[in-house]
Amino acid sequence: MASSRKKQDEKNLKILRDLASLQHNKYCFDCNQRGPTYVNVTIGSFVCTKCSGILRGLTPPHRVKSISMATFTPEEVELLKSRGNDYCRRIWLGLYEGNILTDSRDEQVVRDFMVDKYERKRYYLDPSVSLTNGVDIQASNQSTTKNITVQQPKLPLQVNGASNNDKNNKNINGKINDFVADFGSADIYNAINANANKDNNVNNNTTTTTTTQPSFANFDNNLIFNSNNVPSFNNSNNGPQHFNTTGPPAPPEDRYAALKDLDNALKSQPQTQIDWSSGSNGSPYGSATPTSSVYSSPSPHGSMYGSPSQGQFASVFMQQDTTKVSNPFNGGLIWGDNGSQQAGVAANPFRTTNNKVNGISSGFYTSSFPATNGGSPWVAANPFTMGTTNGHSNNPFL
Amino acid sequence: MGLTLSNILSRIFGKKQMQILMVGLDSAGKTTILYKLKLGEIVTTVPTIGFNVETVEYKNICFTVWDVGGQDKIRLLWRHYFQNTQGLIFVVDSSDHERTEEAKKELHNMLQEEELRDVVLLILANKQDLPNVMSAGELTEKLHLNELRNRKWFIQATCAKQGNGLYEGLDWLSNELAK
Repeated sequence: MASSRKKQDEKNLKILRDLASLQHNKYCFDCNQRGPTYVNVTIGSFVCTKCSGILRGLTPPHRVKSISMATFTPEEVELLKSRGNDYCRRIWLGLYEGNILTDSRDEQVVRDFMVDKYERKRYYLDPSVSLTNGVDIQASNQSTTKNITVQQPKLPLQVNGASNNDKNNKNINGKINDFVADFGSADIYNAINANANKDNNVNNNTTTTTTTQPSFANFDNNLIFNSNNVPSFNNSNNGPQHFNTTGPPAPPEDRYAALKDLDNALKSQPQTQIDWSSGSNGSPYGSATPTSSVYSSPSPHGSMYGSPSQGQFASVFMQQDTTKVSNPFNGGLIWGDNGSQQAGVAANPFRTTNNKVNGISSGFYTSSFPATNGGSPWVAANPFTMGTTNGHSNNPFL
Repeated sequence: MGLTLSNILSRIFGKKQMQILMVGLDSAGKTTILYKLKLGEIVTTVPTIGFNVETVEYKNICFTVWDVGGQDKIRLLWRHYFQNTQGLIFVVDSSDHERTEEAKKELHNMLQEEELRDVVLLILANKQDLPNVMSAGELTEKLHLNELRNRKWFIQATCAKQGNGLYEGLDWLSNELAK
């Protein structure tokens, strides 16, 4: 009797360890830390020790169990088998559009997010709804590198918005699958990762978290790669951010080609040390509050890149082309402005804006964009639109 | 003569020591109680693997409280803390209806141990702030406390988050010690 129970325990433990070593269960569901040691048997996810502690303190508390220090009932094992982090992501983050929390060290951030996720159920998508899309999502996960995580601006959380986005996702999936290049192996995404993240954070009026993450975007969710549509930005100063999909069409292959060129360019300068992480704490790009944004600080060149934390990034580009380089990931405001472009033209990969109020168009549009910059001839060039909207594209890669 | 005087003085001014062992099922709130008593605030805890120990001074008694992890595979380790224990605190999650049976079993098993023969038992019916909780009376029934023989026991409803009931529990322990 006792020995048969012991055998069952060992069998369960083995199943659990196998489950925990599945790719999608290798990171804590709640903070993305590597190597979960606990399971949340309330929802069926794999989490780290720290998050298991936080989960116990939620209202109502979740039940967590140590993989190695607890025994499991067959029902619990079945639950974990049928769920896991992938499933839970579709349910509990079904409506989530923002940045996936990446290995966050800040406990308060993790906790606040969990309160939103579980207590307020802000991102909850009913299984009956989310599972109808499940096949698509799963297919796309397999077609892209698994450990790539999503980084995209956070949207107001509405059911409407979510259903739009679901459609977008489907389109994206189709495109990604059609396209032959293997983006998962391109270094460029890692190299530009930190900067792109920061940009997104600045883009994001509603973000309350600051994250960095180990790898770049997951294309299946990122709006930028949404088939033929570049989302245009349709904003009023006080309203929540809103995307619509009426932007100009652009061939996706060329967007990637631009990235590849950039990759080559970066690789050709191996002596340049790019420390993307440095200064991320104090970086205006990491800051979630628009008021502390870099845009409110005047910079020597009349450019937003006067900020010290972006210095390295700027220098890399300056070495390549001192006059006409635009950062493809920052929505294309250029530093070495040659003044030939019209003001107010923007082609941000994330949104196209034409902000008459400030006379500025920028991918970094924040509601507190300083009026002091207004009227200066800002030029924006989106590397991804191939200059289809802007005849004066500054993108050196096109 | 001098010895007697110092005895009297230490009786009046000295601190009594009391060794307390605090156990219970996992997620009952043991560690939260310990640090609420020690620091007066709520700390974020992680599931305890092993133990935490703190001294808590209350009413001129120095309680040494051992808080031992309660996950099922490490409950076997509880007995290693039995020696010299004068008071046993058994913490129960009052909102966990499913596991009262499990808690009852663990409690009664433990009390069979010879080393715990003279130990006074304080049951803390914790998490009283949650909805749909069992009262101290209900738990008395479900844990079969009335079946305990030759045991001094007391059940106290608590809410570690707000600190309610914790010192009432310590009051009872200190009164028992003084007897």
